[in-house]
Amino acid sequence: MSISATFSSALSGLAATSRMAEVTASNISNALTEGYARREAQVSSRVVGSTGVGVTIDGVTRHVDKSLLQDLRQSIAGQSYQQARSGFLSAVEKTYGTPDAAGSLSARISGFERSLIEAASRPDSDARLATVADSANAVIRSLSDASRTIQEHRQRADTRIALEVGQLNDALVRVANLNIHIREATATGRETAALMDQRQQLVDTIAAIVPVKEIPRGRDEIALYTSGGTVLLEGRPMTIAFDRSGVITADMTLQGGALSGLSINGQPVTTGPNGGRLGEGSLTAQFEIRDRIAPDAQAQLDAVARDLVERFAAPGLDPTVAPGAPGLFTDRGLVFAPANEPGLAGRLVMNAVVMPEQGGAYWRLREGLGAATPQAPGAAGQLSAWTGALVAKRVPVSGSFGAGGRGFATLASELISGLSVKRLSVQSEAAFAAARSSDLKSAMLRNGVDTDTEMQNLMQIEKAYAANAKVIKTADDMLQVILGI
Amino acid sequence: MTMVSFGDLAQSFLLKSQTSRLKAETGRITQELSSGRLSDVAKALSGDLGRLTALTRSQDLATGYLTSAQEAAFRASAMQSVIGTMTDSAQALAPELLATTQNGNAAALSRAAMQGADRLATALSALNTTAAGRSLFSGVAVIAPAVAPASNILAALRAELAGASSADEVMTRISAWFDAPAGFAAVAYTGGAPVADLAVSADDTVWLGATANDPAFRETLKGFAAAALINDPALALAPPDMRIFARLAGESLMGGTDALTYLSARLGVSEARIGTAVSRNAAEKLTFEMATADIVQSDPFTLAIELEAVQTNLETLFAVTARVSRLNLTDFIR
Repeated sequence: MSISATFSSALSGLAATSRMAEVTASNISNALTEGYARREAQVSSRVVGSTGVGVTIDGVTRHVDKSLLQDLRQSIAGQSYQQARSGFLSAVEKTYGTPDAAGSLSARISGFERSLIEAASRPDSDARLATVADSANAVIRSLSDASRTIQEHRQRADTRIALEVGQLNDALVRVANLNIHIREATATGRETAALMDQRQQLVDTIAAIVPVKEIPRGRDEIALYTSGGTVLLEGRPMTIAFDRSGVITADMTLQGGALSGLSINGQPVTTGPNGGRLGEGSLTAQFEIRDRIAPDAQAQLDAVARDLVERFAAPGLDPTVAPGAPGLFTDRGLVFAPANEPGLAGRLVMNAVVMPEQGGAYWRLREGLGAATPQAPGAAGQLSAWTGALVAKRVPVSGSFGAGGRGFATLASELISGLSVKRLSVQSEAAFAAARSSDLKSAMLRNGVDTDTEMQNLMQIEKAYAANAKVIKTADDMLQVILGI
Repeated sequence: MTMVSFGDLAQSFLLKSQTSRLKAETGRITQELSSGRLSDVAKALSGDLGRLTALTRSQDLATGYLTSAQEAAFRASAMQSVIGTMTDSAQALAPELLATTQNGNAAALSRAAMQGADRLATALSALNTTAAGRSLFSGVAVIAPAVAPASNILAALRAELAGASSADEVMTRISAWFDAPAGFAAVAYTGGAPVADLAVSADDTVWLGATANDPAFRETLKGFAAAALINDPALALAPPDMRIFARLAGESLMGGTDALTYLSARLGVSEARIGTAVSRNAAEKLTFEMATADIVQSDPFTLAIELEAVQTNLETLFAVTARVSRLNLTDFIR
């Protein structure tokens, strides 16, 4: 034991405590930074020869619960998957509206039926016939609004996919670069904690898009796989490709080749069902909306529109209509052909012969669409026939509705009910996913910086620093005593 | 060194998420309370909107049928009043015509003829009555008058009666002209086919198809027209024949009165059914309104209790937030 060894120990103590103070300061300053992992300086006793002389800093460790982080990323991806789907279903459900609300599809259909009844009471009144035309147009508007909303959401999903694919590619390249930096820093013994924080945050942004699994590779590098088992990053980042579509219409589908799918390094990847080989995340939810949920909703809507057209074009319903001529509701003015069913709901228009602004006249609603001149302004026969067409029990030709005939109002109600049931079930899944990820996030944050603990550490550090300084002072005094002899 | 610590962010995250959850809940309750309507109707019905659709539709249709039934009632009563006017007029003229057979001097006959002409004109204008812009007795041709003016009818009759010499023959020809499709129906009736039965409720249709071409009206008009022609120079009947002719006209009016009473009774049946339909439609509308409200209306009592609970929760949470944020070591080691 020598006094110089005492000096050396005390100096190492000062160095260690000031390093610890630095770590504590960094922790406290980042107490409110999300994604910051709490640091801790690791110390051990320094050994020179076979004797311990002072203390040494082994390094700074980041406290991250890897499995918790993994769970959190999975649940955030699952949450964004469910939320996107539930958002779409709610939006379409809102355009249909609930039957008790004025302006809802059901209310407009019963309004149409009511206007026919009232017109049959005063068939000579042009105002009543105008109301019939208006309320029929309102039904058409409801159907085309819903159709437009569905296609807009498909378009939006397509745009969003392009955006997310861009973000994903960008993040993957940056993670690969950070992998290299971290490997170099580890090799040269430099500090890596800040780089690893950065990388963790980048992986978090990827996890919001696709459910991602982080797999540790040597020298603190990581590889990234999706939960569906697709490689995203293994040494080098994969390139994900997607082509945005300009305008999406109801007849454009992925199967038909009009819409782009996803490919990784040139290989096409399936995105459904349930996320396919990517797994359930925000990206696959957009694909699901664009390629499955929205087309399904559109198909049901088109089936209802077709039912409406065919009800009013039934042979014999209006004896004045020539065979092969369009009925009261038309496909953009033409006869509806079953091959053109996709997107019909968005193309419905009233027959121009009853619309004065298009050169028609309201009295044709009473006299028949093919009538040349008004004959009997008091006859309500054709108006009653229209009402009969609306309420007649008819089996829908297309769409997935249960067997059995039903009136048009019931069919429309089944359309909305089907959507509501789906929305409620997806919404409850989304609520569950949100609760789960909130729990996990809470657990994750619990491992974060606790300023009280840091302050306690700081007090200890302060005390240790003072003690080490005192040791130096005492050793100095001892040396002075020796030198003074 | 493993340490048990509790991250600062965890605490604030917990408090923040609880606060936002409670605030969202308050928002929902406030909205439901102020609008009186459930915020998620589909959820309350587990997604099955069938019943609600049926109720709101029935309510809408009941409103439509109510309008239709009220208009039918108005039309039926206007028709009844026309029939009443004609019956009164026929009942007033018939005794005078019959009386002329006993003491019919030229003056009495000419007075009866004048009255006949007047009453014919009145009856025809009554048949041309419009209600709310709609001709009552012209069938489906609701914008046309139901009958031609008296002068047309009398002119047609004069042509028809040329060469008739006895009262009986004149009356027979008049009667035949009124009943023949080429006679009254073609010359004097300017309306169309009778209107179809009218739907006044979901299951009731009523008959309001009386036209000016109805046998009851024709029979009565026959009497008026005959009376108007008693001393017509074109016929040139002898005074005894005129008296017989007046009697025949009076008898025709008596028959017309009976037929009109029957027509009025038939319309009365329709009126009674319309009345029932009006009250039933009104009652149904109300019932459906109440049933719809049962489904979509929020329950203010439950909501008030929920609001109370949420308020207590939120207040506690705020108190805890304030307390917890004061609890930190930094404040104590100064």
